[in-house]
Amino acid sequence: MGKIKLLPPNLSNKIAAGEVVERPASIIKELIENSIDSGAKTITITFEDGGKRLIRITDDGCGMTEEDLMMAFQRHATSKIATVDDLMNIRTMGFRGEALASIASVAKIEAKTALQGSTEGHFLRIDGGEIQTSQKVISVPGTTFTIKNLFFNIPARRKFLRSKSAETRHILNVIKKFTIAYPEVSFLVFDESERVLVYPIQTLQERLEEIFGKRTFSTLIPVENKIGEVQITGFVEKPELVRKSFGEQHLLLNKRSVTSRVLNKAVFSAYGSLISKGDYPLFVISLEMPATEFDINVHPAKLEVKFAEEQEIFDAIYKTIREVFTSDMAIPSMHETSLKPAHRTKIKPNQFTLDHQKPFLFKEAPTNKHLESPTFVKPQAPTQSRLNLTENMSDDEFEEEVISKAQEPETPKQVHNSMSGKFWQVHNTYIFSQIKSGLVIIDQHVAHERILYEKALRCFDDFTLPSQKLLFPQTVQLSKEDYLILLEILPWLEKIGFEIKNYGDNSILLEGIPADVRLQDEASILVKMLEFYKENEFKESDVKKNVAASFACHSAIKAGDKLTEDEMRVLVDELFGTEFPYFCPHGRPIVINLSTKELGKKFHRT
Amino acid sequence: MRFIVRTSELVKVVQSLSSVVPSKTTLEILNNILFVLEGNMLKLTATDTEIFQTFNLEVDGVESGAMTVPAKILSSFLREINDEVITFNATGVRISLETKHGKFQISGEGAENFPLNPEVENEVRLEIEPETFKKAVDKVSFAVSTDTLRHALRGVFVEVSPEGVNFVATDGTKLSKYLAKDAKFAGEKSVILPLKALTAILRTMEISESSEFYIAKHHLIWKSENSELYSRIIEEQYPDYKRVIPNDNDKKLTVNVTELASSLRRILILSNSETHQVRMDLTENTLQVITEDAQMGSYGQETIDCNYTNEEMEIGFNATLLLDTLKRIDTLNVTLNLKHPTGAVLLEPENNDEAKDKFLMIAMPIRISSD
Repeated sequence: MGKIKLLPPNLSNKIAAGEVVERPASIIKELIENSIDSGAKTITITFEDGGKRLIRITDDGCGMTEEDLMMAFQRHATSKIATVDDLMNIRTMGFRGEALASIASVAKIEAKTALQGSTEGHFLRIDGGEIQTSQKVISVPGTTFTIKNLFFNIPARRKFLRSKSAETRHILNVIKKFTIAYPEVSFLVFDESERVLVYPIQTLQERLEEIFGKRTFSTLIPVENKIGEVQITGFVEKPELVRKSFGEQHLLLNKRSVTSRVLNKAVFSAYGSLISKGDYPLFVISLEMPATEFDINVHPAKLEVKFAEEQEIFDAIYKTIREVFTSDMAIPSMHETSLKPAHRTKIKPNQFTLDHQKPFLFKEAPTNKHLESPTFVKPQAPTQSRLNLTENMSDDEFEEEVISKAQEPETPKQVHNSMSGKFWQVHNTYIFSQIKSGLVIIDQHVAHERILYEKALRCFDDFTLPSQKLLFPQTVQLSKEDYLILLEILPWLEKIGFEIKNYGDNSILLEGIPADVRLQDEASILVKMLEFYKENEFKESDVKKNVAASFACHSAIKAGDKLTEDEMRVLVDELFGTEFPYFCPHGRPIVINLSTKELGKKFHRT
Repeated sequence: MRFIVRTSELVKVVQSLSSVVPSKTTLEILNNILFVLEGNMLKLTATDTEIFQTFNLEVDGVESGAMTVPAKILSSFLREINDEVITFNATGVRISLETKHGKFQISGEGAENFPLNPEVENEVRLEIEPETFKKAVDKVSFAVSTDTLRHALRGVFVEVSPEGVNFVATDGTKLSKYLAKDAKFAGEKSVILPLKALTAILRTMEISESSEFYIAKHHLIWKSENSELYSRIIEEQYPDYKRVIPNDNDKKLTVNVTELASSLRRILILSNSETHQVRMDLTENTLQVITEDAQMGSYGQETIDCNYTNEEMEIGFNATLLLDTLKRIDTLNVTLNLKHPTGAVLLEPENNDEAKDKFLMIAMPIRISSD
């Protein structure tokens, strides 16, 4: 008897499932595609345990009849193509007709569906490819798929699923791609019972603003062009504001999220030398073109795309973006970068040289690069005129200032030593003290920030800072994303003096706080730190520096906190003990010097 | 309104009321004290809208009426007058003051916009000796939180228990609890009283006889023979403090309070100026208090005799926090009940179980920095 047999259908389905159903995120992708094809206006996605335990997708689309529903689970059953010609002209998302059959073969699946305008629907339960239940039910119009216990019948595959947090990140990533492509669809996402995302029906602009945040969105320039039959729309990051936004390069082809080396290359070539090697600009580029011009059916997961006319597409995109960059909109403006809070924007080296032309003027907040540049701020270098932090002076006044200072340079140490030892607090925000050459004004918040920042960085390499234990440990419930980030940076937080126990389920128990932090709502400090960390994650690639800056910013005393004279003295002493006493970790000035000369001038004494 | 009064009597009342007058307010009239004269009885009221305090003062009334007078000016002015007879005469917004030596005039404001005393519901008497009340507030108020974001902790928690009435305060790193065994209360089981009201009551008790305390639905009420104070209570959930009072801290350290405190005060000077971190090394009957601030290059170490027979232990504290607690111990010795270096520490005065009332404090340690 021959050894070669035709595989029984349930086995061939399991094998095929390997291609389509790689992980929970791929199921979600297939099901969202189906929902979108059904004309849904609202899609609700729920998942548990990173999608391993449960995935549920509910839409308000057209729904299916009983017959359609049964057919949907047959391999290569699809409502979307009927002939080979149709295959060449695909406009819908799903088309291979294998997704549901594949999913059904490796999980327990339930489907409930009713046609629009009908309350009578059909319910189907399939376990490992076998139909268990099939009955009429009362249902709201639309379709709900529930997928439970993924790979329950293939333990080997189940074992290869990654941790809950990793799978969750995959899922959120997949969903993000759809939310970008379909602003006209409302998305609701729940992780267990926790609401993760809620996007109403929006315009693309509104949607992107919500996804990336207002601040990031404001760094994007719109792109629009039509070349031949190719319509290009989207947003690209201004070259001078580009950060390392790895994973935020979004290419859409007829609304489907795709990868294409050609398209990517076109965008990166358009940026060209405007960005440095290793930078990843954020962009969303959407192409609309006749489906006959490309082939998306390269892989069952439908991600790679091939174009009939590669060179034309490349040129179209390159030209479109290049034009935007060379138009007025994208000329690097000193004004803009200086108005934005410096810590939000990393200024490119070519701009850096612009700053250098007036090295002593601090009308613009110095960038991080200034900060870390040892030749620029080294306190031991007395020839550097580091004290002319005078703000709001005209350029003329400034030049004079620079000259007068150049004659009597003062190092931070000299300034510190010549302080009168008396301190005054103004508006519970600024500390005034007299020095030999005049008056110094210190911003208490940024001063403390600098102190904490350096202290945190020191302790990362060395010792652990003391932690004040709390009498009432606080349970903090975090969003999924924040929780995952917290776990990542936990070792550094512990070094600074936080004592945190992982409670699972996105919650943690805060048991101790850094001993030098003023007692206040500790839980909210932690949450704000995470927000800060997230915002800066792409700009500050050094995890340690980002943690230190987040900690410093949110644990530092605030403007408005009343200080005793002793507290002011300690603060000032510690400030001048830091490496860079004149700039906070974000590059804002800490100390302003008002010379007696300058004062004299203001009072017309000379 | 017209009356005659001795300044020595008026000045005490005005000064006491001035502490209720808010230091910053958008409601101008709250800067004033309300004067209402009926016959020979002058009723004076100050409020910050949370606390209302009223005094009754017997004067020689000439013409009844009502008026509000700027508290700050009046109080400063009266302070500079030796005990004399003064005549108050208010017409319109003008207030004339006349002493033997001179005539003065200040501007007031009409009484019609001054807030009315709050209406209170269901007041129930808190039966407690005034001396006991004073002591309880003295012992716990240092632990009240100053964090503006955590309202519940900004007051003293008063709670009925089978043993008596508990007074509790905590800021999250220290806790103080005073059990007034003889006190009784039949109303709601617990209430949070704002610190500012308690301080005002304690101050007024110095110049006022026979205190009585009541707790109403939204208010604390204090009444004496010549004064009344109404304060809103803090309507928040107090944390479950009982859960954090350790009951199995079996390592007992007994030490002379004065010796430990004076040692800590010296060591504090050399400690890190922000964390005030000190370490206590416990070995048999010996306590070493040590501090080190590598950054400033300072170091201090003292050895104190004590009573300790358990295994050796090192535990870190914020010296300021520990000193704050030691200040509240009246006995010669204090006992620190310890469990492990990062667990809550229970402090008790000597013979706590036999004392008239029971007093205890909790201090949270610091996890000491390590290399």
